[in-house]
Amino acid sequence: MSDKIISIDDAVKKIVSGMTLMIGGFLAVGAPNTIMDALLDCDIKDLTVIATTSAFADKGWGKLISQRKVKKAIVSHIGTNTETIKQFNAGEIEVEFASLGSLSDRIRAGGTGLGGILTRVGLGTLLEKDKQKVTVDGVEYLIETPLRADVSIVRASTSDEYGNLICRRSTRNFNTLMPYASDLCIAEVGEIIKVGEMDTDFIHVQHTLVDYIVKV
Amino acid sequence: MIDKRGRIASRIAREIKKGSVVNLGIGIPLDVAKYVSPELGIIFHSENGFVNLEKAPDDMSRWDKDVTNAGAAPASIGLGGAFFDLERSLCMMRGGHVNVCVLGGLQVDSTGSVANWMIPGKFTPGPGGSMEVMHGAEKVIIAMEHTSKGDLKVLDKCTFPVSAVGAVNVLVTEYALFEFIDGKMILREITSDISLEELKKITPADYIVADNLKINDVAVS
Repeated sequence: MSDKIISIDDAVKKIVSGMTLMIGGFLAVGAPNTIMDALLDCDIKDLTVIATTSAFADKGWGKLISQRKVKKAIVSHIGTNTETIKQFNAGEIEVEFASLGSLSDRIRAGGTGLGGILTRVGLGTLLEKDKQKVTVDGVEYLIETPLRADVSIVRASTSDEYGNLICRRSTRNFNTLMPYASDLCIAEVGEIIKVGEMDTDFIHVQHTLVDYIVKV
Repeated sequence: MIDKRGRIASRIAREIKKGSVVNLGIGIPLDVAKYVSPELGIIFHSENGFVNLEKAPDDMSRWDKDVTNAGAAPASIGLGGAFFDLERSLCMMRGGHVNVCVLGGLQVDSTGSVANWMIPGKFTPGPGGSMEVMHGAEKVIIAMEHTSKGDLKVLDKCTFPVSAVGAVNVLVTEYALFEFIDGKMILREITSDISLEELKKITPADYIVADNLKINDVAVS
């Protein structure tokens, strides 16, 4: 048995106050919701969370916002989480809005050794504020900086004992990208199969990127 | 008679060419799929990670719960479809591999700029992937009610923060269809239940009325 397989109790102990987390999922679908629920009972605060959206006030990692464990969210959308909207309007949470493509490629940059990306998306909007611009071949671009996290928490349908991951159907979302961009990656998985049982042509996250596996 | 959201969605459906890859935003845009003829072979792109998006099965016991749309609602994947991750999905959008997008709007102005992610101090949902798809799509269509609780939305200049500058190609409301060509806003179609004068009153934008203005009978549409 691989020593990557740990209990959910041991997994949440790896998260401490003040950390930056990347959390997989798309509106709490294909998301590590069991680990998120376990985090609700932990004495942690001042988290910075990087995710697609802030999910819902009562579902997914959005519950951490409802419990006021989050000081900053870097997301593309908060419209589905009434609690994020409320805290944002009251100035009680910092939200760094990013268009979803820039967010994903900032994560990719952070995970792949790039110093940032150049994009025209966001030019002429509030999202260009405080960002450097550069002209390449006569075309102006925004420089979007890399993102990294202390821990990424992702969700996969299936893992093998080494941590090779498969995310079924439309649940790949950021689960396949975030493991590159964090110092530590924890995968919440629906099942664990033996090494060798997975078709090596169809693995979405390679085991070398995954540190811990939690079967839920 | 068809309601105003239906009027907007059904008119937009006729703007989509055979074989297009199309991304629909939340709200009125999602309804466009109901009015698109299956014979056109339109491929719907689901931002959360697949092409050949279709509605969920009528018999929900046959729904695969790992297949959801960009609103996290149950959906299906059609024959020949394929899944991918969000980074690929947004690259498809920004890279021009999604031909047409239909998005909602808070405001649209004469320059073809659209505001749809922020009402300062009140409601800031965020842009999601709308900025990428507007950047990449060859045809950007905004589906929007002409006014909102008395507030005018088709303006000379957006007062809310814009999502994209000069990106809109077509704006469809329950009363009108505007096209944006070479920096000009052109009124192409108007519905039979409003006069040009009445439309102007609720449209403080600088637009030209097309010579061959078409009048759509709302009872038929």
